[in-house]
Amino acid sequence: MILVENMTKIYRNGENEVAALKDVNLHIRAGEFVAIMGPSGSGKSTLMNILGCLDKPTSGEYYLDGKPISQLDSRQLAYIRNKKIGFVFQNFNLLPRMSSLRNVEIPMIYAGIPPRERRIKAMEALKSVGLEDRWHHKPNELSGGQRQRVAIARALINSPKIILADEPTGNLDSKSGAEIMGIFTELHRNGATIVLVTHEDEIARYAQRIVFFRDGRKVDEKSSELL
Amino acid sequence: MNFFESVIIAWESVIANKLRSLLTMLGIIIGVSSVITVSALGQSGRAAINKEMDAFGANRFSIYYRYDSDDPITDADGFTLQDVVTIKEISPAVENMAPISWDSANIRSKGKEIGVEIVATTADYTEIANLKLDAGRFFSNEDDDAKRYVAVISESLAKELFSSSAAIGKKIMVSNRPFKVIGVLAREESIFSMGMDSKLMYIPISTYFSFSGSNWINNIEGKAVSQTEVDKAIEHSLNILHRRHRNENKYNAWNSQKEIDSVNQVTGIVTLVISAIAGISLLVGGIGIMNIMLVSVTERTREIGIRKALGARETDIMIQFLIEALVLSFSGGILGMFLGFGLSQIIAMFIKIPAVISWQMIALAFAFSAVVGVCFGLYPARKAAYQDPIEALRYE
Repeated sequence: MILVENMTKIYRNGENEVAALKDVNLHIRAGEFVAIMGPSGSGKSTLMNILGCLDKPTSGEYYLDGKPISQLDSRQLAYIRNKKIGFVFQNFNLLPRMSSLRNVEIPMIYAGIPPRERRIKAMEALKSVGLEDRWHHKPNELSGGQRQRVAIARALINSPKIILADEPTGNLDSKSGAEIMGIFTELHRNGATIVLVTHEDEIARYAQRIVFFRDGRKVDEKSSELL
Repeated sequence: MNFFESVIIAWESVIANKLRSLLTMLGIIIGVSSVITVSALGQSGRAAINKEMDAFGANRFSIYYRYDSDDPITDADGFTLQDVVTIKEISPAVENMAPISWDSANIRSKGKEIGVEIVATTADYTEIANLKLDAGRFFSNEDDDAKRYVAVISESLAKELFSSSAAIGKKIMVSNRPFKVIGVLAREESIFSMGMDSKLMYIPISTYFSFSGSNWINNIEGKAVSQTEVDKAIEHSLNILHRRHRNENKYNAWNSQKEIDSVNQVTGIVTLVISAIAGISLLVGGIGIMNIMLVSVTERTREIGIRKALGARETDIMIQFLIEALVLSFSGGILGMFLGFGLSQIIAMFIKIPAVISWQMIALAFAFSAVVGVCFGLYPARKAAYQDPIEALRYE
């Protein structure tokens, strides 16, 4: 499903060149639940951005469903972000002026789904994360855990095969974090491929496999039972 | 993304910043409202003048002396009654013609004394000037030939001396001679008279000559057979006059078409100047919109990043911001239109001309605001569309 070959990402900052990823190889099969761990600056977020088709590698190739991503134009990349990938961010990234319902509707707007159908599906999605009575609330009227659940409902709305979560529990208390991880576990059981970045051992334990990064290199890989 | 959806999103963002949006629209509002006001008043002014000229008679002309201090007018140059008769006989382009002598006099009636303008002319003048009567009749050729002391007076004079209807048959004393009132003219509604009706007294020209001792004719009023023959009628008249008096360059002619042309020229220049100002204000308004859109794009960098991460294409983002600029400029256009309507109605009330508002003007105002919206919205919209998603998401 996801195949990364010899991937390098170099950021140019004036005269300085910083290599965020160095010669990374990674294979994630369909239906896997993988956690990526490492200290800050180890390149895990850069990898997530590339996996999410938000950024492009300097060299190497990223194959999604067997297709090289470097061959795609911005329109096709937008399509992949819309249909194949669901993003969950550490800081939720909800649009502050919109209700939960409107936020969940956004990916469907770009998928060209008509308003009536959108509304119904968005309500169902909010229900599935237990927020059906909060549909008209704006993000600042919700708790952190509730916001992240809205964000998950939004990420899932177009039924993507891959869920990319960048420290989804980083801004949450442990109780809310556990609730969110419960949702991810449930999704995984239903067949979703999940890639999750974290630096907390307890969170990484929910995954099947853990990949360790340091200074832009993949340094280790093990099953979560060994943690 | 669907168009209607984009309009709603744009409208939400305009409403979210009401004051800022209104200030942004101000340039467009001023531009559009001044375009509408100016053109409405220009058009109604032109319509009023044309109506006036039609009432005056488009085929009317007037011949008068050309005054030149180096070559003064002498008695030998003076118009005669025979000149008028001859021109009427010879020129096929002239339908009718009447001499006029102007004078002013103090008249007395029932112990009141009033200064009036005396217009001494022939019976033909009613037809040329298309005079309308409230009561009685105009004097006839017979009255003229017999040098009868009869008078037709204007409505305001009749009102001042008698009550209008009772004026007929009353006596008016001019230089101790009694004139009998045989007609009262209808009130003239004219933008040139500004609601004031002058105190006029029309008398037969032969009567005037006999009691005043003068036989000076001030000008000749003529009417051509048609509007297209006016120039020919004037040319014939001037030729005949110069030949009969054995002189040259002593007379001038005036006709309503020349007047319409010169009025149109003035209103055209005024319209052009104010339109230029309106154009500049639209330009400034457009820059205002661009400025606010750039601020908006920067403010919403994160939103752009989020939308891109959720699958928005560059065109989706571009359309969203372009429509927002259009919503701003169109709202400005609509507000400007209403303001323009209001202003032109108010001004029309003061100058007593109905404002003419045409569909073309509304279309023009909308076209203007659309063009401004697109032109000045395009750059910010492009800037938004081509944001790097990663950098946009990281923006704080």
